[in-house]
This record gives sequence, C-alpha cells and structure tokens, in this order.
Amino acid sequence: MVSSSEDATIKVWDFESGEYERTLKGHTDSVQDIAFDHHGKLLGHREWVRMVRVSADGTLLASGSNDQTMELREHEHVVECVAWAPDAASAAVNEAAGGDNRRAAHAGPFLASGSRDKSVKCVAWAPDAASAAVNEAAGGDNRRAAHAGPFLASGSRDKSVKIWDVSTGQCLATLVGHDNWVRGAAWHPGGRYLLTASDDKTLRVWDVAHTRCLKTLYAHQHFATSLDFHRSLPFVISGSVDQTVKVWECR
Amino acid sequence: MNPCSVAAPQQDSEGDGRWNSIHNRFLSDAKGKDADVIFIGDSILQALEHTEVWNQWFAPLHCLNFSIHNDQTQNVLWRIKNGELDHVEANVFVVHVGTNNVEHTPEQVCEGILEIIGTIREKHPSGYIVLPSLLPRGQYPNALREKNSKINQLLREKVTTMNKVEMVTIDKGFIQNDGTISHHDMHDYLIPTNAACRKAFEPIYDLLQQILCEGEPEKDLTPSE
Repeated sequence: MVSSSEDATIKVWDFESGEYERTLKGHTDSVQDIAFDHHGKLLGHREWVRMVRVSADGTLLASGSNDQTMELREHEHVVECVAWAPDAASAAVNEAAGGDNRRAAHAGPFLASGSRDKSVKCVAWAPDAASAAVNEAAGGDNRRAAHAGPFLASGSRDKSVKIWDVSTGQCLATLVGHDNWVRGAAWHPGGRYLLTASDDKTLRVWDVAHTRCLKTLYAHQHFATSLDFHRSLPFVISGSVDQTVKVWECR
Repeated sequence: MNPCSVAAPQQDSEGDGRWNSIHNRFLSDAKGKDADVIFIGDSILQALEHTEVWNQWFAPLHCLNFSIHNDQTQNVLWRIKNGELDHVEANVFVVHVGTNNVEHTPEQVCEGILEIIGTIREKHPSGYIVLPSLLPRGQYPNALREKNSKINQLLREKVTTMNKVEMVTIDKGFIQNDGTISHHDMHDYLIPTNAACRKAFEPIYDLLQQILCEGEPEKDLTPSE
C-alpha cells in the first residue's frame, strides 16, 4: 500500500516488490489525505490519484483519481476512496451493481468506491463475522439473519457512518456521533466493532449491534484521516494531518 | 484604465520568485485538497492563518487560505483569473484585499474589489462571497486609515443589493479613545495579532457556521430500515 507524499512517484507504484508487500501487511492506508502528489500517468489517470489499494495477493491495484474515473466505473465526480471486496462478496456485488448508489455503495464488480458527488469519504467492507452484529443493528425480526450481506460501512461528509447491505443497496444502520467529516473506517476482524477516524480529531469505536459509540479517543491535534487494523495483532494505526501516525493497542 | 481592476501579478521586486511559488502552491492545493471555504486576499488574511484562532475556528470548517502578503486588488484578481479558484468546490469565499493599494484612490480600490467579486461570481455562480471590512492602520490617525474607511463605505453601498454577497464589519474596537491603535492589537500597526483576530474574525466565524449549516443536505431522507 502506498502512504507517501510529495516524493512518491514511481517507486511507490512498484508494489510488486518484496519491500512493499511487507508494507502491505502492516499499514494499509495513506497517512494523510494530503498525500496526493502521485501523478496518475502510470495508470492512465489524467489527474491526481487520491487513493490506492492493493489486492490481497499484491498483484492488482485499484485506484481512485481526481480525473473522475476509477478502474471500472465512472463517477460523476472525484473518486474519493476505493476498497477491494472480499472474494466471497463479489458475486453478490455483481448482482447489486446498478442498485442503490444514492449515497454510498457504488459497487463495481470487485470494488466499492465512494465519490465526492455523494460526499462519501471512506468505505470499508465488513468481515464475514460481522453478519450477526449488523443484522442486530438493522433491527426487526432478524432471527434468521434477514440481511445476507455483504456489508459495507461508509463514512461521510455529513458526519455520519452508515452500514449498507450491498446486495440490496439498503442502508441498515446509521452511526451518529462525530462532529466533522468521517475520513476513515475499519472493521474489527471479529466483526462486532467498527472504528472510525474523523476530522473532529477523534477515533471512535462503535458497537455495531447496538449502533452506539463505545469509546472516543481524542487521538490527534488535527484531522484524523485514516486508520487500519493490524491483520493479526491487536493494534490499530491512525494517521492525521498533524503529520503523525499513532499505534494504538486494543484491549 | 483603473490599475486596481486590471489583473496583474505582484512584481517580483526582490528577485526570488516567491510570489509565483506561492501561487503555484495554491493552484496545487486547490486541486488536491477538499475545502468548503476559501480565504483569499492580502497580508491580513495571511496573518490569520498563523493564529490560534485559525486552528481553533477555521481549520475545522475545512478552510483553505490563499492569501499573500502585500497583495493588492489587481494581484488577487490575477491569481483568480489564473486558476486558483478553478478546481475548488468551496461554496464560500472570504475576500479581504485593498489595504495595500496605497497608491490608489478609494474609488479605484472599490472598483478593483468589485471586479474580484464579479470574477468569483462567474466561476462560482452559487457561491457565497463574504467581505470582511478593511481594518484601520497606523498608530495615529492618518490618510490611509481614512481611505480604508472610505473604501468600506463605498463598497458597502455597492454590495448591499448583491445576492449572496455579505459585507461584515470587523474594524470596530481597534481605535482607542485617544485615536491610537495598540500594538497589542496590531504589532506593526497593520497586521492583527492573535488577540485582535479573535475580536475581528468572530463575526466571520459565526457567519461561516451559519452558511455552512444552511447548505447542509437533508439529513434523514435516507431510509434506515
């Protein structure tokens, strides 16, 4: 994954090298939203690339760019963020393509992308384990897991976080609490918790099933722009416009 | 021709090309960063960016500051005509310029500011334009102070009828009873200090909050079930 700024030109795109695979496993988000001097020429983008994601095996790259295109799909506007769907999700997502993309889940075959035309700042696919919690959050008679997923969380300029069932295009839950744009979202691998980073300088931990904020961390001096979970260890990293990256231990 | 309303770059009298460098940086910020409010203007606004007030009030509102020290109306006009506001999606523009047009008459300066308003309007037909009034300057009463207040008066008359253009008085409370300006407010009798910015820009902050909330999309129309 690429996280660098001004000097990040060609080297950063060399994602197949061993060095970068290592980075891939640890930090998988850009440190700052202002880290955009990657010139998109290598990918055919005409404008700055805002965000890149490397697929799990490190051989494919998805990119979102100011030129209003994404790999497979066109937005009406600047593409803010992209995320790879887990393999299991892709079939369902295919069916949903063309579904409800009013606010967030503009889903291409393998990608979820948020675009500034609808003011989505970040998206994150829920792990399979999240199904129970998400269904509980959706309320109603869900003893039989009425919503099949795959599920996607999105953070927005409207300060809210929403959880979507991508197969039907429905918004299942809205998490309200942040005081400013929500810039980053990541699921706890266990599926019960969602973490978000916001321009209100905080990180929040959400209890998904009860759509409630469990914990607010006053994390940074300036906008908190990104965060990610360590794949196997109980650590969270967050990046901010205050030019720091912080590592948090989960307990 | 009125030199205040004919776009021109600032003269690089020192020969280090800084003005151009700053302009280029603004062009790049305009593309890469996502702002709701753009401040554009002269030394006064530039100084604002380096105050606590900026960090506390304006940064969280997603403001960018495209202000350059010593800029005059024609310089700001040039920067706008050369792309600084072309790629931004802000819907509020805070413009403060004119105090450095020391060689020009109040009428000329006013016309220059109106030209800037017109140019922003062309590029952003639905944007709000907020005009903080020019601050008084100089420790003792002097011709430039009078000129600034004349510009304020002329400008206010012109913009009252304009749609989505709001002039805000920020120049009150700086001239003391004996007619002097304190260095606690303006350390060089021109540029406001942090304390002065807090006084002067509070009404601007209030107005921005108001405008930004007004523009907020309907929150709960998305079905949640």
